[in-house]
Amino acid sequence: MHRLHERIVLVLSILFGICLVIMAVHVTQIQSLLVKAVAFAAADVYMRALTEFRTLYTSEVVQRLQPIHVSMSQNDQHYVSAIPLPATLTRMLGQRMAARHRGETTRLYSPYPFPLHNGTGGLQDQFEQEAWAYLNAHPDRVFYRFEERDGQQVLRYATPDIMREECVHCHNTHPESPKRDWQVGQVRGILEVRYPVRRWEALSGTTLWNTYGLMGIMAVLWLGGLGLVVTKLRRTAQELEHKVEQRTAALKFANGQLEEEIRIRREAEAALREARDQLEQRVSERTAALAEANEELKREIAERRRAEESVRKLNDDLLRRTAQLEASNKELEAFSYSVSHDLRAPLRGIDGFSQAVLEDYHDKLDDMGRSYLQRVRAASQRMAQLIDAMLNLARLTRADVSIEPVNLSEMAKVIIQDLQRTQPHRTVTCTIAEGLHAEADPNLIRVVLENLLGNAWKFTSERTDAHIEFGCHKAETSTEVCYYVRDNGAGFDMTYVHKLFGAFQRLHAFSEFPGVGIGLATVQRIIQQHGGRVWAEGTVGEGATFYFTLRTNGGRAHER
Amino acid sequence: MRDKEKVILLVEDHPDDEELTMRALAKNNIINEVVVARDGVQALEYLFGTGAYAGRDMTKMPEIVLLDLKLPKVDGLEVLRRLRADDRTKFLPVVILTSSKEEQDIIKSYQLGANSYVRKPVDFQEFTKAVQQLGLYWLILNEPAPEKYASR
Repeated sequence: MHRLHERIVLVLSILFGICLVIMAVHVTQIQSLLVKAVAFAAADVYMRALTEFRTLYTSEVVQRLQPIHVSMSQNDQHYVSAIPLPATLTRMLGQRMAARHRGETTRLYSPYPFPLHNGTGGLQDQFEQEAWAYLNAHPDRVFYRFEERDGQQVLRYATPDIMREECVHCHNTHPESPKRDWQVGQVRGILEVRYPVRRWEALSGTTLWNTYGLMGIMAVLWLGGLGLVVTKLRRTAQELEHKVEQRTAALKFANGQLEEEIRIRREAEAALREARDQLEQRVSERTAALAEANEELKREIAERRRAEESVRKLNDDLLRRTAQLEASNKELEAFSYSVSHDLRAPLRGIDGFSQAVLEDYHDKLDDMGRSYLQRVRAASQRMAQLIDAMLNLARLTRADVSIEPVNLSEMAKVIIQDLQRTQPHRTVTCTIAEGLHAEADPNLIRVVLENLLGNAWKFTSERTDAHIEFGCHKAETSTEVCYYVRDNGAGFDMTYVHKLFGAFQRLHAFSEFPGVGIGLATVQRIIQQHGGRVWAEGTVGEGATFYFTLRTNGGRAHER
Repeated sequence: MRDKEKVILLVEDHPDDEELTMRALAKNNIINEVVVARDGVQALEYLFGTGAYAGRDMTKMPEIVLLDLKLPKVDGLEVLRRLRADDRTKFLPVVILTSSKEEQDIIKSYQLGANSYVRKPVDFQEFTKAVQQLGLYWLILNEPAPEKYASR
């Protein structure tokens, strides 16, 4: 790198030198061309001045003097009596100017010189011969050449001297004219200006040397600058090299560390890969387990759906049944209404018109007739009672159960008091346990107690030592509370105990104990609605005991 | 003592019941004029002087209406409702006289503004007693709303 860098400097220097040389040569050539061009231009101006002067002289002087026959001479010695010929004047002007200026001379020559100029007026050297030949062939051009003369360069600039109209006559008539058949347009002779280039060369030569000097200074400056740059570069390169060495050492160290690190990382990667493999293994295991669980779940969901479906079906069924039940309830209500209203009307008619017969036709009936009519009335009234009892039972069946705390002891006492009031003549010993409480519908449980206590009251009517007891005992095995109503009345035959709670079932003759046979059916219905049980024990002639329980949680299951 | 001018409107579709009621009234010496309507429509026509009763003397309004519930065409409760909705009859004493003792019937009757609810007993003697008491109460004891308010 160092070498290359040095070589580039060398190459650049050489190239620069070559450029300088080329430039110097070029500048020299330009200078030479410039000098020639300037000389050419100056010669041309010189030539024109001479030519124009002669033309002017010919037209303004010679032609005006011809009518007075002024003679013209080529000899300047005869000017006292003659004016010079135009060519002579030209020559004279050239000589005068050459004397005043520095080196430029003119010459007028021809192969036909005037006799006076026989020695000098002819073609004297090769240039003049060539110029004559060339310009005769090309009268509209100029002929020129740079030549070495006396050690300096000279421009020889030749133009033809054309025979004009105003000249022809004179030339063909002048006594000394060497040729008398001139025609207009012919070349009479050649006017040549010799113009030394030296002066211009000297002037431009100074400039040229100045340019060389400038170029030399530039070359020195360039080399100096280059040297400085090279030195600086070399120093920088050394510093860089030093730095590179240092950096290389640092890098080598870092590389070592890196390699170590890479090694450690590779180990870690290997460990990681192993861990990942294990993880993948575990994931795939877990996925499999999950898929299995998913399947299980799907099965469960399907089962659950089936179960839900069946539940829904059951529910629908239930709703349908509920609707049916409600419909049948409605029917039952309509039936009850119609029974209560429509069946009673005819009974009222039977009773009313029987009474009317009894009253209006009292005299026309015998005792038997009146008795029968009374029986008709009694039967219709009893039927009305049966209808009412049946309606009551039906009403209880569909009654709402609203559970609340009830003091059964107080309720029983009030009922007994009412019974006593209806039959004040009776003496009945009543034992009512204190503090019997229950969770029940107060209206319904009152019906239960009214029926049970009313029955006890009724069936003890034939006893003088009538005794009615209301109490309870708790079973030891359960929390169930068993209430009972006991009497020492007529009792019943346990054979018919199953008929006891049936509607319109009676175990006694109506004449013995009046009643419609609906009371115990009503009791059973209400106790069932409270989630309890009712049963009875009895012995004919010794009395009966009616037991009932209520659901210990207060019959909430039957709450509506 | 009893004012013969006081009219009783008996709304009863059953001929037996009508006969028995008339008998009970007679038995109790209630000799007031009894207008019998055999369905709800007749009852309303009489009360508002329309239909068969168009052009009747509307200043003569019944002293008491004995209204059965179960009636052909328009039932007793509907008759009661329309009666109470009209300014001319809104204060008219109405006694529901029916066979039903359904809770719903009783509640609805009172809700619609019945003045009394009596269940016809099957026992004719008791029925006679009830009619007697009704006559005594509504025709003699009770002081009806003044005419000018009744017709507002």
